[in-house]
Amino acid sequence: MKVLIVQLARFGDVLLSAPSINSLKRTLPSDAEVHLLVRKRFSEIARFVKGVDSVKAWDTGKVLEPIIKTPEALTSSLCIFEQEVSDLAAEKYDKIINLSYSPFSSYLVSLMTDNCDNVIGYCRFEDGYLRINDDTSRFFYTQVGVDRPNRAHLLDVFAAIMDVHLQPCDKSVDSHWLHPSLLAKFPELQLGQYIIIHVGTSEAEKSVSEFKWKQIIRKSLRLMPNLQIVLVGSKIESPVASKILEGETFPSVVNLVGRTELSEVFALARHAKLVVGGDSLWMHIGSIVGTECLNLSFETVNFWETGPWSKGSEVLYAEHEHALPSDRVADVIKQHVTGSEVSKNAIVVSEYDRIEMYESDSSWRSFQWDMIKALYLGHEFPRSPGRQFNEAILRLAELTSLALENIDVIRVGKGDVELATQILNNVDQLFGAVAETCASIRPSFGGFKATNR
Amino acid sequence: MKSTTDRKNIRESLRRLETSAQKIIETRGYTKEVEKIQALTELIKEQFKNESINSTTRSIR
Repeated sequence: MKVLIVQLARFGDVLLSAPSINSLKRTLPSDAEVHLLVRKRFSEIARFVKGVDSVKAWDTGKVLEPIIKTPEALTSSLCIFEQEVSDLAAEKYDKIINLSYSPFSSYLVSLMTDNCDNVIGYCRFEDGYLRINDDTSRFFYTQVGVDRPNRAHLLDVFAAIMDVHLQPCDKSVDSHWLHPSLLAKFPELQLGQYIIIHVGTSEAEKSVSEFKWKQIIRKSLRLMPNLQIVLVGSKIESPVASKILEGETFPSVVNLVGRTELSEVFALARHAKLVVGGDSLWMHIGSIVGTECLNLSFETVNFWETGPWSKGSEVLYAEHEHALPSDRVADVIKQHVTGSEVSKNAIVVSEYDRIEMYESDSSWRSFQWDMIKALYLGHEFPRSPGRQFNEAILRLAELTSLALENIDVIRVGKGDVELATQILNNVDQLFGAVAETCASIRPSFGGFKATNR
Repeated sequence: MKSTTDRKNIRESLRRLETSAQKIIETRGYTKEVEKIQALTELIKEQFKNESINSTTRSIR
């Protein structure tokens, strides 16, 4: 048996998929092969996913190179694309699990197989319409995303999509990647004592400014003068580290930005007391090696879905970085370093088996999330938040009746079928309009949309 | 896509792909050929998003 998992998102998403892939591999027959398709740019990280037998790299640059030079070379690009698809199709996968949730991946998967019945995740119907075979991917389609109220973590969503039950051993990398000898070239490190700060993120709006990091470091060192702070990041983030350190004499700060190899980062995170960062890859590196993480998260990200997942990790949320005082961040860093109890209103990784990754106080209650749980998981329906919601529900009920009447006309073939089709199209748009005017109705509207796939 | 010329070329390619897909759909309906063109079109569109790709959670139709 041969299974292909398609994960064409970024570094962090590959690591977020790792526990489910490991779990799948653990439960498949011993001669089954698990292949992982990732973008060439992010393929290096895939070799740390222990459940993968073969890594396939999707090379977008190679496909697009001819047309970047000249649009006349469109045929060349298409030929290269066809060849890449045909190489993948030649593997004759028994099952394809598409965890990418992008339009491109839906076409790619469709072209790779003659039988989309064996696909989990997005693919395409023969007429080109988006096809979603499984319920969890339908849930993903309608409820998951930055501006949506979902609070199920992607770690668990991916596990549900792949129909696996995660064990602690799945949330790990091979132990040889954690060995202290991998850090021999950094003799200045006090293993088990330092904290890591990742100074960058994949997108600027997810990150913390150099000035803010400078303040956080200053205040943390004021509270814990002997604390060793290790700055990490890629080569392109080196200017950020330079700006943080400009004009400062932080004797206990070690700047490793641009100096680490991917083969060292897991050991580096494993021997840290805490990993601090924005919404970035390092939250997942820290999580997969079981080190506590402190995630400084802003409204550009849905931390419920993509925040850290190791035991003891915490999310410090603010709408934007100016609303997150550096004193508070330093205090929380101290709490984690000294092992003191977290504050009452902290958002922390839950120690109990629950749908949300994080425990949080009642101020974080969300009607929309309660609705999602009622619609998809059979929880009790929440009380209506007010008149606007009641009216929106009535409109949805009216539109549903109208839609059903007209579906009946088309199904039976009696009456004006053309008019019925036109009405159905209008109903579809009106559903969207109702959802647009009332945010709390959106989970219900999403559920309706998904059933159409 | 570093330069303006690259962007211009790729935008023109996108336009040509969309026109080709439309022509094939009008004459022969939705075929595997169209599917390939659509895939390439989406691959190109991803480059305009943020020079690579965005999260796993972008909207889709």
